[in-house]
Amino acid sequence: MAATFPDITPSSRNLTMGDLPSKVYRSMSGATVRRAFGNKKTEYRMKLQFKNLGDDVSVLGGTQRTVKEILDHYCDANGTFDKFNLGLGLIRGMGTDTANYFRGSASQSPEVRWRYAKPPEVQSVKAGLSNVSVELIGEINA
Amino acid sequence: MDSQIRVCQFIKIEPSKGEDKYYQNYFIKETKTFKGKPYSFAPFEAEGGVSSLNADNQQITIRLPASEYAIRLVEEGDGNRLSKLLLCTRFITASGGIPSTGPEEYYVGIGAAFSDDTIELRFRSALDGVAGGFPASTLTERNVGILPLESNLSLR
Repeated sequence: MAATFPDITPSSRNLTMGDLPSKVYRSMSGATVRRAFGNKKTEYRMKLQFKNLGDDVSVLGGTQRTVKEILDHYCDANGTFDKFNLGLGLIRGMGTDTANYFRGSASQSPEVRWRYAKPPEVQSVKAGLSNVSVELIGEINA
Repeated sequence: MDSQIRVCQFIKIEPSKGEDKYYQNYFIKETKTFKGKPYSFAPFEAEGGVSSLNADNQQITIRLPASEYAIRLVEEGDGNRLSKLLLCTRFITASGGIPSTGPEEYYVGIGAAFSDDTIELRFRSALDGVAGGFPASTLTERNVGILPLESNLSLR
């Protein structure tokens, strides 16, 4: 397991709940039959936007979190391969119950492990500042 | 009209050597007691024919990810040759209950195949495809001779 995601609070956060793995058979009559293939929900998604992050520590007086921390974490996690825990920063601002739910400490928490769903995207907006888009996916490990 | 089904497949594999293996593919990361045995979770899928009138021993495939335990299954089972498979299908209730009755099929292992991310265990249906007109009696060594181990048998 890779290190916890850096403690950086996102500018925006978009969470999508997981679902039961299932297929729908839809007949010509319109009647449908749904078949579930497992008893736990999977494929939770978390889309994060980090706006105006310094590219390195020399920007904004050297006190800011940086783009490089996210990129280093992505490398540490072997890209989309390794799992990691969500850091506190990712759920900052969320209500306690919901935060506990996604951090895995609530009784009904999803039994998922988080990974990068795709490589982070870095958009340069000004000299030394960038926006970073990160998408995580929470899946059940077999 | 709308209907929901939850299907769990339980497999018991008796390798030609080594211990019997018990797996189910619905209750994720759970071990379920079925027929008095603990069935642990394995992400497998079963695919293929089950039976036919012509006794042509339809093939089914159990596909597993190429994980450590699946490789061990093949290696300990001598490449899945002559292993025995019992495949039980159960329609799980909404509350997660497992019915005691349901389809059960027996198969004989005929080999395995590896790909970059999966392992396929191949089986043929056991001696169950007797066509109509054949006397309703048990096939024994006394009335048909020595039975073939690979389960292919043609009576004319």
